[in-house]
Amino acid sequence: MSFDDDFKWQMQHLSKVNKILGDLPGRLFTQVRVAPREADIKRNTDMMILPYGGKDVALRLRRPHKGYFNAFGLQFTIRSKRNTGAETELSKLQRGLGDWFFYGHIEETWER
Amino acid sequence: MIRPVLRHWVVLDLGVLRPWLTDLRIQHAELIDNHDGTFGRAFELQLLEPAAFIACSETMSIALERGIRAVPPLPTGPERTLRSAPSLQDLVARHGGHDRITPAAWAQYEAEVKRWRDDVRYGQAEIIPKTRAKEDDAA
Repeated sequence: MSFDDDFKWQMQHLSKVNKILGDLPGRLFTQVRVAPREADIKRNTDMMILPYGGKDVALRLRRPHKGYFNAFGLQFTIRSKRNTGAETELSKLQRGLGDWFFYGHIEETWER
Repeated sequence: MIRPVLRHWVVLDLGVLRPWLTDLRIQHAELIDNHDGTFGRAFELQLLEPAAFIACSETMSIALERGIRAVPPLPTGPERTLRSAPSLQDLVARHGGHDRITPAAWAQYEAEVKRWRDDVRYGQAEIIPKTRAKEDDAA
């Protein structure tokens, strides 16, 4: 899955993330806007970085796969190695990128 | 109709979490092969100290306290079966030969292929009841 694919897919669900963050008690996050794409590419390729009220929120959403939440719902994963040798998200987080980390699973439900 | 929902989520404080990212006690030893030239590390939420959690969804809270199986499942619809990919053979047959396919027909075919690939990629493939899918395959 390319960065473009992941970026587009996560963008589809950004409003859901915005709503969750906006509804948190005490309104921890008040300013919601998407980080420029260039900034994402330079700073963190697997995760989107969203600026919320002065904080950088690293966003990682999992795609809906049948049974995935039941099997791995209590884990979160971070890319830690690339065959290309490019810097990974784990390395970037370790050296200080991001203030918060939003990790979520997209599920699909059936409505008539 | 299938609707995507974001029901399971957690917000973690990287200020607390960051020093733990190298701690082998909260992560799995094996690398996860993403089959795209990249590998990942899996970390266990249950092993993080409470201060790492800014907030979490109701379902994640249930999962953390009582286990994943205590989380009520969402309604699921009919089993999804991927529709067939656009057929190049059919296209050739319809036009009476590969060299007689018009540029417009090629463009339409390529657009259909792209739509089909996107459907597969984003998990939005057409829902076809299993019985009808079998009939379609047989046809």
